[in-house]
Order: sequence, then structure tokens, then C-alpha cells
Amino acid sequence: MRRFLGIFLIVSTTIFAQTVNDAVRLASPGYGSSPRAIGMGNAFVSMSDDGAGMFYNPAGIALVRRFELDAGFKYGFYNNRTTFFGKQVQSNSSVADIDNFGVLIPIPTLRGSFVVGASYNGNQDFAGKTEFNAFNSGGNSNIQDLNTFSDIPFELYLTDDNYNTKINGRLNQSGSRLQTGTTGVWNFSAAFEAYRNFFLGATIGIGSGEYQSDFRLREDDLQGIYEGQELAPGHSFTKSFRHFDYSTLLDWSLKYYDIKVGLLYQIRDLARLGLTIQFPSNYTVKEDYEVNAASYWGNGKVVDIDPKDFSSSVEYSIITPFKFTGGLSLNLYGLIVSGQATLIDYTNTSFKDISGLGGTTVANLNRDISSMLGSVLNYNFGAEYTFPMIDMRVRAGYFVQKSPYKDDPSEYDKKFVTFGAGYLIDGELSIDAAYVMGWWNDFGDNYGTNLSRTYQDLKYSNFILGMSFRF
Amino acid sequence: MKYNIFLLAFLISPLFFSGCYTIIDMGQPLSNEQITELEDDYNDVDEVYSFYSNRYFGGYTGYHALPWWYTITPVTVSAGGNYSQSDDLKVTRRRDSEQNSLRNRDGGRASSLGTSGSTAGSSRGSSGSSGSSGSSSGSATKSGSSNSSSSATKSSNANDSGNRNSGSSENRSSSGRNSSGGGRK
Repeated sequence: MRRFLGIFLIVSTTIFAQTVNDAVRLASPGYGSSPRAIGMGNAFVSMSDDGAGMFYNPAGIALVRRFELDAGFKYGFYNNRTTFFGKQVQSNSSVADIDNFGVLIPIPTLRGSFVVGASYNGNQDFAGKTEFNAFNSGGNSNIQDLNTFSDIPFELYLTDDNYNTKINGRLNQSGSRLQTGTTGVWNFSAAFEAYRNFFLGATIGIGSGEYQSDFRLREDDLQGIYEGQELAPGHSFTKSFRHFDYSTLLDWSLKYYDIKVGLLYQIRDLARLGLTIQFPSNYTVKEDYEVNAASYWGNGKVVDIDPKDFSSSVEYSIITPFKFTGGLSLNLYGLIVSGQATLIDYTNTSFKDISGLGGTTVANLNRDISSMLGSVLNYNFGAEYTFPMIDMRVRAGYFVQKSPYKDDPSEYDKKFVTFGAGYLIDGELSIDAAYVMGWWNDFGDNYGTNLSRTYQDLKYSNFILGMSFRF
Repeated sequence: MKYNIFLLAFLISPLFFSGCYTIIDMGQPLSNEQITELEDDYNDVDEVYSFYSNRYFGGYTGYHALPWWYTITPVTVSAGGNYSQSDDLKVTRRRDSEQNSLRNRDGGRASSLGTSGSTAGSSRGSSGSSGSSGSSSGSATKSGSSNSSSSATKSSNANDSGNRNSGSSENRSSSGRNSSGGGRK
């Protein structure tokens, strides 16, 4: 069911570059920010009493009573074990980036608290890599699929003058899909104590980012099935088909803004309750889409297309749904245990045309979103224990980000375990580190539905190192 | 974008309305009601502070819960024997916040500390002496609270005098808020 999307994701992009997957990519939550929060499994909405609060729950920063400067760095690693027609290929990719930096300024008060702050937080990480290489014995191919809606096979002498092709699958298919890109958000926050132990806050986020997807698919006639067949009658060189190369490059420039409001209530010194509402984010996507294709023949002849004929530049918006989060943390003699749940109704994600898409395309996309996606309840758990004699903390956490696609089995949910530690120097400088490890399954169709499918076993790990200075 | 700005302005607007819990220290004059509320508030346990109690969180207590505009005032009164200023500072910083809320050691008002408490009781309503009494008790002194204590006294005096102009002016000049040098960093 799910990769009905994947079908469009990679292939149909020639004409309809936008897919439900594009909406999911932006609507899905990131993997967190700040080593302390990540170390606690991102179960931080009821804590948020440091610079990360601007990202998780702005109300929490009202608990901060000293100036804070913080910064962090992260290094992520991806492993994708892809199974394609029984053959497995391992792919690795990595990304290093700034995780966060920010400042908090508590305003002196006679009673209560009032804190303002600004921060930058890495938000989403789109990195990934898929590689595949196997013989597809079915009677289908990318050439045939493209021939149903584009002139590419015709221009490459893979069809006759009436757009009929003799190609009928049984080609070796190899290729890759490399994804890169991140988003980050500048947060501007304010929070105050509205009533005793009851805090309110808001964050305005101004985000930006980029995303690139480089997809390449090669189809080889390794078994010489089409040797001697004149694929384009009247053109003798087409009797020696060797292989077909097809590649697309999707390039996004992203800008968005969002707002988050939160409240936090401290129940004596025992517990904290946090709630946040993240309003829909409006992503403006400037998209450049480029297609290249070429056919290779036995006499060394190469025919290629003019990429300009199949490339496009459009601009549109993707509006992500509300995110409602509620959490509770308990203080048990130095052990803080925290949990939270986030409700996301992905059916409220929508496209909006700015230039180039057209109303019909947008309407179809939004209808697909409504029929293919559902609402999910993500959950996070975490704990932090402080060793008071040595000013050291250890953390652990677990969280699940459920698949936004309706009826997806649980193996498509993203599951993470986290670990972390912190050490306080001179009561002012806190050094924190976290490690997060995630795993889930996915699949993608190179074209069509379940004709050329990659089954992916994904693993993600990320190391975050940060420090915060309070004075 | 305008929507966001309006929303944020809306959220923080209560700060500028009377009756909001949080009162920013801008040196403003306080009403009697506010002074009374502040006094009551200072006598309550600071639960943010006690959430990160020293007993279980060690040095993280100060890291999380000690406002930057609070200060640890060095002791100026000899306690006899081998008593030294540095010793006193250590003791103060190691105190268990569950037993000694910082809010209760704000210049002489009621406190869970025996010594401070007795001093506080006697000093309520007298301006300058409360701060010094609190300091000499050897406890951490919150300069903001010390200031507000002075303000409270000042305002009361102004009302008592029945002469708002001269009274408030005179008191303003002697207000601890402006001239106490109460340790604000």
C-alpha cells in the first residue's frame, strides 16, 4: 500500500515531480536536537529547562534562571541494506552538521520569571542512500514505463515511429538513489510564569534548508535478449541495444516558518507537566527538476536527450499538520523519568500551488494525501540520573515515530534508542553527549507498483556533542 | 508572519498587565497589595529550586535554579573560633535546599533557618536593617528580594506620611532598590 507512493516518488517524477512522499518528508518530525534532550529520548516537552526548550517546549525556558550559551555538533551515519530481486547491497552515508546553538536571557524579576532567547536548531535530516543491482526477469522495465507517459524512449530510438517498443523486460537493473539535505530553524522564544509554577511560552521559528535526490537507473541487456532486433525500424544501429541510462536530479530550496506555543506546570518538586501545540508550518519549495537519459548501442553509438526538454522549475507550498504533544516527568530522588506522546494527523498535510503546478495537480496530490496517510501517535520515554557527588548525569531513552502511511505494519515505524551523559564543570559549564540509534524498514519502487521494488533495512546512528555555559 | 508576531505579542502581553504573576524588576514602585503578595511569595518554598535539590543533584542545583541576579553575600560578622568567610560560603552553597529555601533567606524575613527566622521577624517593616541582618546571618542573600523589602518599607512610609510627593521622593532616594548595591552582578 505504502509504496504506491514510492512508485511516484522516483519514477513518475518526469511529469509529476511532486508526490505524497514529498509531503511526508517535510511533515515528519526530525530526530531531535541538543544532546540532553536526545539522550532522554526526546521526551523533553515536560522538561525543556534549558536552551533546547526553545525547540521542544518554549514554556520550559521560563525555568532558566541564569544566562545560557549553548552549542552542539552532530555526526550522523546511515546504513541501508537493500534487497532487490533476492540480491542484497549495503549502502552507507554520513553527514556532519551543526546541531544547535543559542542564548537564553532571564530577565530579573521580583516574582515569577520572564526569559527570552534565540537559538538555531538542526531540524530534519534527509540523508540516505539506496543501491541495487539485480536481474529483473519480469516483463517490465523503466523503458516501458517511461513510454507510457513520455517521449524519452522514442527520442532514444527505443520505439518505432508509433511509440511501440519491442523491449519487454528481462534486463539487469542497477542504480542508486542518493539523498542529501537538512533543515534548520532559527527560534525566537519568550516565556514567563503566568501563575505560580505555571509557565507559558511561545516560539517563532524561521527555517530554511535544502534537499537533493539523485536517482540513477541503468538497464542492461546482459543476456543479449534484444541482440539483432531492430528496436527502431529503419535505424540499423538499433539492432545492438546494450543499455539504457536514466537519471533524475531533484533539487529543493526550502524556506518555512512555524510557531509553537507551550505550557508547563510544575507540581511541587515532584513532577512537571508539559503541553505544546505546533501550528502548521508553511514550507515554500523552490524546485528544480532535471532529467537525463541515454541509450547505448553496440557500435559505440550513444543517443541522449536534451535535458532542457524534460526539466522544470516550479514553486509551491507544503503545509504540514498541527502537532500536539503532552508529556509528564517525575522527579524520583535524583532520577528524572519522562514520557510524552505526540499526535500528528498527516491527512491535514496539503500542497498549495505558487507557480507551475496547476490546480488539478494540486487537487490530485491533496486527494492522494487524504486517502493514503493517516493520523499517528508517536511516543517518547527517557530518564536522567544525576550522581550528585561528582556532578555527572547519565541518560537513556526510547522513542517511536510511526509511519504516516495508512495500514503500514509496525516494522515501518522508526524506532530509536538513545544514551547520553553530562558532566558539570565548576557549576557553570555543562558538557553533554548523546548517541542515538534507530532502525526501521522501508521500500521503494523504481517505477510502477511492485515491479522493480527495493526492500530496505535501514539503520541510523547519530552522535551529538554539546556544551552549555551558564553564568 | 504577522499572525505569528501578533500571537507572540498576545502571549507575553500579560506581563504588562497588573495582576500577572510575574513582576519584572524595572525599579518600578509597587502597590501595597503587590508588596504583601511579594512578602507572602518569598515565604513560600521555591519549588523550581527544590526540584533540583542539592541532595540529589549536587552542583546542578545552582546550575539550574540559582538566578543570576541572586548573590552569595560574604559574611561580615565574626562568629568566633576558627570561623572564616570562606568556610561560611562553603556551608551556604552546600546547604540542602529542601531545608533551606533560598527564597526564605532574602534579607531577614521569615525563614526556615532558625537564625534568619528570628532576625526576619524582628526586621519586618524596617528597611535598611533587614538587608544587613539577613546578610549577617550568613545566608545567601537575594539582592532582588532585599531590594523589594526596602521598597516595601519605603512605600509604607510614604502612605503613612500622608504626603505622597515628599514622602515618595525622599524614600525613593533612599530606596534599597537603587542604592543598596545589593550584589546584582
